[in-house]
Amino acid sequence: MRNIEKHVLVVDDYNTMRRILRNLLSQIGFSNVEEAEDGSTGLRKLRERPFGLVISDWNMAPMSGLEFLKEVRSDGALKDMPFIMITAESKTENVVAAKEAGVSNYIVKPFNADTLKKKIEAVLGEL
Amino acid sequence: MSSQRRLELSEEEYLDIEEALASNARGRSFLRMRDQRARAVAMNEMRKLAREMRDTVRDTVKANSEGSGEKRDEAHIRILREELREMSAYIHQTRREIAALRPSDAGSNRIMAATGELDAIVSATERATSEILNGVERIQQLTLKLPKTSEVAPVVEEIQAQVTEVLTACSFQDITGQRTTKVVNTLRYLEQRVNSMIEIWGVEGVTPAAPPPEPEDRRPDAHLLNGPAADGGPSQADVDALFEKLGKATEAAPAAPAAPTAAAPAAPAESPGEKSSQSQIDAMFNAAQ
Repeated sequence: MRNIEKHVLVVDDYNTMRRILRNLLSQIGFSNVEEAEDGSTGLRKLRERPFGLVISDWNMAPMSGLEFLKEVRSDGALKDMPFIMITAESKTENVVAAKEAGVSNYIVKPFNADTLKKKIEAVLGEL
Repeated sequence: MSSQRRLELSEEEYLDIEEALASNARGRSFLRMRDQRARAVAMNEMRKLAREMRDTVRDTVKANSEGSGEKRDEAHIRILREELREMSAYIHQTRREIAALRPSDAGSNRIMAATGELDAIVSATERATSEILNGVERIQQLTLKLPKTSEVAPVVEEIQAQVTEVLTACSFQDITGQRTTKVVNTLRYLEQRVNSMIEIWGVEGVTPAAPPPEPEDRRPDAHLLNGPAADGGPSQADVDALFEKLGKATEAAPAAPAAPTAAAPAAPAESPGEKSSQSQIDAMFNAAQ
């Protein structure tokens, strides 16, 4: 398993979900994974240090994943950040809204490790 | 004039903050208290309004009766009184129905109890999922220690694949948690509406309407079946201590009576409420076989 240097930020209000994603990312080869429990904390972390990928839930409070994404895209220093939305919200209008806001890819919960890897590769290139 | 303007939230901002608060038990308690306080103010205003209406009607009736005394006015007053009497009867019946919604005490509020149970479900699944993840991570660490021989390597690979399956399956907790939160929010909305009706109609002292018959649990031990205890219920240590205490009490009790014969029904000899010793229970079981 290769060690991928890129730092990944996992944003989800459920500790269980963050833990699962951290573990799966570790299996893929990402050894530098940081966590945030909502969009505003995630935004603060993104502004503190460089990251190579954001994986974010949608349904969070006070700042939702979509708001978080919009903030990222409107920030000159972060606007090109690879951003994957991973959520149980799977209605067409959700996907459309996320796409319009500039999401890089979209994973619907529940998901499996293979899907996660494929979507990351679709965004970052082959791992 | 103050130079500071009061911050006004948009409807969306207000709902976002309310949803954030409603997403955990402590936040819901805060919202419940806030609603109670707001209802008290609304109820006072409602009573004031009712008093003003009553005074207006009384003054009108009085003015009419002190006036010309013409028969036409008397007929109008009679009709007005009759209408008011009918309205009063309807209001009385409605108040009785609403009074029936009011719990006799806070502890028996079924909506609150239901939200508490759902909170407990979320906490329990979160704890269980966390324990499963602990186990999974431990297995992952152990597989790293296995020798990477040609015989063992495929087995390790299969274990790791299965562990990953378990890991991703644990995401159910996030999904069920979100669904449960939606149900809790709906229950909370219903609770608010019911409480608002109760406060607006001022049902203090009103005899509640008879409740509809409840679905009856006919199991003989229905009175013992309360489901898992909420947080703060007895722990295993508490139960062990009680069990030990009960054991000592029965050891100190007189010897068990003779076991009933096979022909006789295996009924306990003690009066209700007394504890049976293990030997008494064994005797009953043996007799029943």
